[in-house]
Amino acid sequence: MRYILRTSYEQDVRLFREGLPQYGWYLGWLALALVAPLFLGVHLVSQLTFILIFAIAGVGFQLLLGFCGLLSLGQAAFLAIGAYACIFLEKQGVPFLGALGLSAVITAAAGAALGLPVLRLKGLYLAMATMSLGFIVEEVAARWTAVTGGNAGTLVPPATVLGYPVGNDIPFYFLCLGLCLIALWLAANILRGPTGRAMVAVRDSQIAAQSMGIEVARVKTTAFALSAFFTGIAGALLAHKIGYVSPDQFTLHLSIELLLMVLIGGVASLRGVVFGAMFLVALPEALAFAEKATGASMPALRPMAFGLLLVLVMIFEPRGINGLLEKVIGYFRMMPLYRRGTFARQRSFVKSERW
Amino acid sequence: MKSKIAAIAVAATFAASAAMAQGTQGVTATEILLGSSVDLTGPVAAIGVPMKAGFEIAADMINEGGGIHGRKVRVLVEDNGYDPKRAILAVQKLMTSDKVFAIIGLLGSAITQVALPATTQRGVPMLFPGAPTHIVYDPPQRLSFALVTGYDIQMSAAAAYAHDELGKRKFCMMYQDDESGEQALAGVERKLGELKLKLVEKTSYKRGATDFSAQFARMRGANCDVVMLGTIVRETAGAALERAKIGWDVPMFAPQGAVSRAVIALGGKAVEGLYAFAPSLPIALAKNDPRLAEAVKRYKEKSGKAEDPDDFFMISFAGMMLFAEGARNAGKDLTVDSFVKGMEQIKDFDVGEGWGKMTFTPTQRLGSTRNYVMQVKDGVWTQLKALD
Amino acid sequence: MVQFLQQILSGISIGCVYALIALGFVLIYKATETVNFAVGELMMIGAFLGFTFITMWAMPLWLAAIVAIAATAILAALLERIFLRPMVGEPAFAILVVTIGLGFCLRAVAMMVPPWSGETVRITTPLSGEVLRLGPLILSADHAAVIAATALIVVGFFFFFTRTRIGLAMQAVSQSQLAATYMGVRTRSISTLVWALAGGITAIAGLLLAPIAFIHVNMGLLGLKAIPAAIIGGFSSLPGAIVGGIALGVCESLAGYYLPEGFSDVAAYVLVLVVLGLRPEGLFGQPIHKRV
Repeated sequence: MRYILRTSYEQDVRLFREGLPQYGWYLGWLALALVAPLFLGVHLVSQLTFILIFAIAGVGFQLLLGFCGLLSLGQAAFLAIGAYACIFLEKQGVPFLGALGLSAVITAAAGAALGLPVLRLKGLYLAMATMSLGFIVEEVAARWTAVTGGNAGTLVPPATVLGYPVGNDIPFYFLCLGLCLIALWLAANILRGPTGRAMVAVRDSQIAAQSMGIEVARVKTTAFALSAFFTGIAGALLAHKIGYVSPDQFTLHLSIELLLMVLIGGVASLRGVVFGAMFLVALPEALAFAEKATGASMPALRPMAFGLLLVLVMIFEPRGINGLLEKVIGYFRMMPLYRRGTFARQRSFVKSERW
Repeated sequence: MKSKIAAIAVAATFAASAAMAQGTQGVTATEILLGSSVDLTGPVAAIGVPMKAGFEIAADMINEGGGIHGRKVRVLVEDNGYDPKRAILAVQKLMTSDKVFAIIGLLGSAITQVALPATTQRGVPMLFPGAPTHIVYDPPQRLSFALVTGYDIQMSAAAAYAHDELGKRKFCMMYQDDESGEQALAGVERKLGELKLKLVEKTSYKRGATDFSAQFARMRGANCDVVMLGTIVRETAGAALERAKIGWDVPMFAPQGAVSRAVIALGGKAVEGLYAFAPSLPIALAKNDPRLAEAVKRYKEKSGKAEDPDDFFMISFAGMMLFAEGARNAGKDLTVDSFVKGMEQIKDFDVGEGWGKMTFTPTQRLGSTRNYVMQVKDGVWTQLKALD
Repeated sequence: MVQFLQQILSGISIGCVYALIALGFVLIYKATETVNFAVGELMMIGAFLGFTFITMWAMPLWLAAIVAIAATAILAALLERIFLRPMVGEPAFAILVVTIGLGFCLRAVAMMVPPWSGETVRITTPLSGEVLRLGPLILSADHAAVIAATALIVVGFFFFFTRTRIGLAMQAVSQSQLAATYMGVRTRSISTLVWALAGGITAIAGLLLAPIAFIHVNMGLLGLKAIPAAIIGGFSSLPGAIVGGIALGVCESLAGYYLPEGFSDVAAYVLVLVVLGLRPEGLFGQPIHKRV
């Protein structure tokens, strides 16, 4: 439950629900992001670029999971489709930005196509179906050597915009920053329009939504297509950033990393995606730092940290970093009237689905 | 907006070049920093962990001997889990954040293939990857030096041996479907093409697979009389086990990765009679060399293990010796240019008994083209021949 | 024809391993309606424990097996008690994520044990290397042991669930937790017991798998294939899990032989999609209806 203190009739449809203070914070972050390359080294700018790329992928995932309630464990498949489509087009001579846009559309089409068979499935079955799709796409990428170069992988052609090379560190960072902002803005607008509201309705109660006249099949397919769109862009950018694509980069593990990112950042929140992306990229760095500080090499630290985080976040703070942030903001806002039980968790003892 | 970007880009370039003007990356008055990335936790960790030990022990031995013109050598080793993505990120980090002088001893053909353009672009030397891939030396590049022959050279020689010495004519092959396996395949097909023969059946498997029953069923069904393998460690043992399980008595040839005690440990009786072609001898056969013997002794003390390290320990150790030689030839003022010239002065250099003599010239970036023919007899790898 | 039968035979034996893991999976789902993604890692730990006891502590085979199974069962019970008890009442998706996290933690723990991390090992049993010949068909003795053990376990379970009090209590809990509580069954303890039982079964699967494949830290991915097997058979059906697992093994084996490269890896997942598309509740499952 989220407490939104309404102070105006337009609040529900405004882009920034809480008005000016929110604007201010976001502008501050944007300014920081713009000047960051001036005083951060190449390595840190590279990490920031990864944060932005994963944020775009996370926007896609959030639309599916947080706002439409569809758990998909196969997002890596869309990353793969986006990456390979973009590389293929670039090799045919399509300029970089055009290839990027086209590959996003291709991935969206793939998302709609892949979403169709799984429309009737719910919960775990959907997760398993998408996981299977992920494995299948990974294998197709390995076998379709004409397009993907097979298991040996392909080197990514350097990206140029109007003859100006953007594939290197700082120009690429700004490109990703721009695309990330556009993605967030697009997603926010989708969500406050009829499409997004229908998706949220389907998430909350599919049968109630159906009785209100929402075509659930169409909404779910749209959700898959939109999610694939954003994820495809992220995939293409990721391929360019790393410089090399091979089918075994897009494994179940990557899908679970995206899931972790969205969960820790905060489900059903767009700024949570950015928090989650920051966390996802900062985690290996922090672990590497810890390893260096203690001098010992502990390769087990990565899966352990990963696993523990998943477990602890779900047990103690299922709404993630964004949830924490909202609690803090809520506390300050309701200060004299704040009650301890305001953010108490409610258990939803879901009735068994078996009869 | 665009001018803002341009301004920031220009400022950053100035900052970067200012940093570079301070001296060669990775070289200070007292230290030379090298970087590497090997598999410490994934499918080939049995190779990666001894390689890391090889770097560290070689560095110790070099430093105890006075270092290189007074500078100590240090090697920073990152884990990559045999995952090319993690590897490329590790290499980027080593080059940009840790600022190493050179990348040495990368493990994994696919990984080396990906990392080479990145290191070349940044002007960082790529030294002696423990990866039998030909792109390191063919075509020869200024900043890339190789120690081990590619899988294609190894398996090509293997095919020739099977044809000439064993009189086999119907060849089958099972290979890993990535860069390393495809190199092996290319080598076999090239040699068979020269002999006017073709592969009767070829099958592949995905990296990390452990079940080869389908592949062997197909090869047996094709009635070949020799099997060529494009496998690394675990899969060589798995192939041998599968061959024994179906009771098929054909000779099998494997490339360098097979010459590992892990293969014998995993395969047991099934690997008896397996052939392998490698550019270096296993430690057990090369121990007469005093430097190697010393290094092995230190490894045993440091790790507390009683047995010899895996044979890839020799690759990283030899690589460090070659680096030290090239750096010494470069003189006190160590830069990338002087290092390259120093390496090119190396002629018929002896890195130990288990290797051919190493020579580097502007057109030859592979130290030696020697292949050792080996076979498992009575549970140990024994040398049959050395082919140059 | 001989090759066809041969492939089916080897498919059945690997399918039995999938079947056992799927059995553990379905057991947990039936009793607690939670999905457990950590079955693969439990199997890996069971196999590694067995290896440690046999090779490093030189225990006789039967003793090592019993101790490894018991240890994994206790581990599974502890996991349930510590991590899943607080999650009662949370949405199913959250519990799913917790089990994914537990799988990662288990893998990390396995990596931290020095003799296990980075190593690929094998267990050799007195049967290793022996082959049975049934006419023109060859079946290695280890594979035959897998099939025999699975058959024994299935029979054992049948008697356990229908003849013993605890088995009946588990059946009651899996049909309706509320009604079971009213009848005096301690549902929470039963949940822990079910996890222990599932842990034991996956350990048996791991020990049976060990002589025919390699044991290594990433072997949990094989266990992940048991989930498609459970879906194919139907989540709410124990015989379905067995049938699903064997069907999966056979399909993989045939695909590996007759179809081009790569199909055998995805055979499991294609089959799952087909079954989900045609009959979402699985071959033996009950159709799911939702009341509004």
